[in-house]
Amino acid sequence: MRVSTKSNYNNMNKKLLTIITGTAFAGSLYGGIPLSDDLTVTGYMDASYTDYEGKKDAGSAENNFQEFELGFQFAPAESPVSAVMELSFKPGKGNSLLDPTKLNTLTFNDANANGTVESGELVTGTATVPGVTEVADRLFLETATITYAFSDSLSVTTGNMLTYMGWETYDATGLYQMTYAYRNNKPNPYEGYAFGASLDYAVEGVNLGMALADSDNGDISLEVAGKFTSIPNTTIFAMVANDPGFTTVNSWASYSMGGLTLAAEYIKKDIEKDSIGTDQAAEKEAYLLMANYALDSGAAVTVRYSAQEDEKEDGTNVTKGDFEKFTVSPSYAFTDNLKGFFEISQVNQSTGDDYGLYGVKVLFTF
Amino acid sequence: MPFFMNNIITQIFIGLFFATAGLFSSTLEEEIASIKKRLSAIEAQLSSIETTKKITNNDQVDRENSSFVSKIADAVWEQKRQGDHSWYRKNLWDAVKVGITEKKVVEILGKPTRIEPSLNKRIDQVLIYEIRSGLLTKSKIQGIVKSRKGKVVFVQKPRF
Repeated sequence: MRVSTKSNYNNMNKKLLTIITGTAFAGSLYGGIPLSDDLTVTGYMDASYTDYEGKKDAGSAENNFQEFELGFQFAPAESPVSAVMELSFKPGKGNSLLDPTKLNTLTFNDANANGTVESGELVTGTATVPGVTEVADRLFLETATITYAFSDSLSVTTGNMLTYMGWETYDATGLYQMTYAYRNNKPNPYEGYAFGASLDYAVEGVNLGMALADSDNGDISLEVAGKFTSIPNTTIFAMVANDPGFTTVNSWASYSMGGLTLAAEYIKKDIEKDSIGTDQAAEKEAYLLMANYALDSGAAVTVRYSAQEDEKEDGTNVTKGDFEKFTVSPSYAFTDNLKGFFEISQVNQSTGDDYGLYGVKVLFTF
Repeated sequence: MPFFMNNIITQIFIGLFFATAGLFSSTLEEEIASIKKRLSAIEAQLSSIETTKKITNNDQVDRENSSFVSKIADAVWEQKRQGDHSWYRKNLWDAVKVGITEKKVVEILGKPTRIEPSLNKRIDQVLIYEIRSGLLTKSKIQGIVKSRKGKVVFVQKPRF
């Protein structure tokens, strides 16, 4: 649902971006400082270097990935209205850098991301697009939402919003390590952004939400989610999403005590026949187990195991075989704003395309 | 003087007396009526004055009572604010900034009024500090701190 290729959506983004680019970068001069009691500017920048060992299709797309994001949060005290707007800039790869003729149409030649993608569109919801030979600079509106609170508990939000789905966050700022847990093959384990509206109800220990949003083919997607924190130190999340062509069930739980955070997640997608080009119905299952331990000094380490299976109804694989990933990622917070990650991951796939991944990343937030 | 003459003179006096008394009587009645009228008017005025005075006194008492209750309410609220809601101090909120830990927020502001989880993927939970703007009012003063991975990602200070 969430990786929309609707022309209206992209056209709207392009127009907006042209207008607000100047404002965005002027705003970054005030980084980390509230512009007023009601308006706050936030953002982050990250740069990474990733190398592979034994990967057959290792391209340049995973090397030196960078993103710059700038957000504005308008939230007047004691007002029922609040708004968020975020811009994301991702530098391109290859010869398309700064080539305006290539900003509108980008072609991906990898089986993981086949198809034509317009500028301003988020491709996969992750920072990794293996096999991409050419990517133009991309500047696009990410979150753009307006929220109206009917009461302390009930609010409605409309705009371009992120899915409720997933333990791992969309932005690098929320991740415990460098890379994501799962492989990207459509439909991706997590959905991304879409234009729609959500109704949220929150009280002590419980947050329930329902969202309606547009989808790739113009139909409506529905998400119903709940997050519960009534058990001390424990968070439980559960949701169901119905998208045209597939249904997703996602649940995760986390436990935090002192510097220790433990998490487990399960995702299941039931995919209808022909909805992603398969000749029969298919099923995607993905799960992860993660432990993170952080010291007061700023040092932390994450250990994660994740796996993914994509099978057709007859038991054969969809596009790719089974996938397993084991990750160890130490990190260190140099300051409140600057954090560094190091990661070693081993990926095993039933197709025999196993590889190792080594990477470093710095993340600056404000 | 013969007895006959005495009788006549007596009768004349009696006649004159009654005649005079009759004249007197009508004047007196008029005066009594006039006095009654004036008395009624005075009574009416007095009644009106007393009513007005009574109303005025009641208002004043009400106002005094209201002011008294209000003062007590304000004092109680202020005491409550200083005690249970010690977070309601501008200098404390100045120390609450994006990037500090949630634990530090609780150290600075104390335990929040309530903690709500958030379905927003960039926010784990929302710490809400809340108090009514007065003991007798329904409006609220609210400060909000949103956190992710144990660290503050958003602060909305209350209006002081």
